[in-house]
Amino acid sequence: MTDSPATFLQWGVLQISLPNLIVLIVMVILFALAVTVPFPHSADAAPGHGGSDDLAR
Amino acid sequence: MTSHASPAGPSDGGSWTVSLRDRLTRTVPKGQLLPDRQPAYVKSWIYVFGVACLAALIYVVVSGLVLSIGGAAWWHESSVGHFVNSTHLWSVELFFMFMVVHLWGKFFMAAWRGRRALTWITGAVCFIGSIGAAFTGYLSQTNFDSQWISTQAKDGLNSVGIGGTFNVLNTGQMLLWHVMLLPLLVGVLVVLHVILVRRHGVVPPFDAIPPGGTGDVAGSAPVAATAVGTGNGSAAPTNVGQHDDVPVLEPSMLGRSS
Repeated sequence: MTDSPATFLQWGVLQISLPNLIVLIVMVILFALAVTVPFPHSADAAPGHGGSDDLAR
Repeated sequence: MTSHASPAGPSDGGSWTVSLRDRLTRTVPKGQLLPDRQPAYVKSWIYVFGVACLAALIYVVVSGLVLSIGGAAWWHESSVGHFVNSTHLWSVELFFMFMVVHLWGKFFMAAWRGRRALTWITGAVCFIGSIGAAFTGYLSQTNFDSQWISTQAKDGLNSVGIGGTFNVLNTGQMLLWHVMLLPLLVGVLVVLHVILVRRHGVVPPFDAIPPGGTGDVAGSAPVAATAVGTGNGSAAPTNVGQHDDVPVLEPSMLGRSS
């Protein structure tokens, strides 16, 4: 498997191997998830009520 | 050893230890180097990728040190060497993946705001240096793949006039760049980058409100926002993170003491 050449996709002057395209798409998905998925709050934090508890630990 | 309590300021010349200590204290104030508390908006997955990037880099260095024990050809003849070499490769893959997501996040946050240009620059140069380190790694595989890559790379480097100095056909030179010079460059830049992050703090959200102010803080002095004072009924701008906490700026969370 490692000795066989990768499948290449071509779109005009753009050419990319399928593994590289998959990695690129995974990175974009990861970025989208990192921006949209809420980060879990710690149990002892009381956000939005002032005081030092609003600082992330 | 007796400790004298006399305050040592910059004027107390003559002692390089005092000068160095003052310099270090000014660079990263006490308590800022390894803080256990962060502004509320740091509670975002986007920051996890910066830390994951550091973790991957640590493993890259450690696995590289192990590989250097067996030598560049170790992985051809030993299953253990092959395993360590594979983990070295995949930790580099993860390192780059995490770094790119971190880079995207910082770009859309305009993380160079508030005198953080040098933080951004060190990160960007570190990225470029990492690419060089990765490419010289490909040249150090001691197989037909590295031969092919080097013959392709030499044309490009010759075309810009550096092929005579940086000779990709010289395996010994490329190996030393890969295991010494470029890791040193990346390591120094990463340390500087982290120190600058600790010094200036994480860039506040676009809509963070400084104490007593209502304007945007873009381009302002380094400040870090916290949700302190959110219960006072003041206007609550939307956080760019994933929290409902109001990012009101708090002077006590400044990246430096003054």
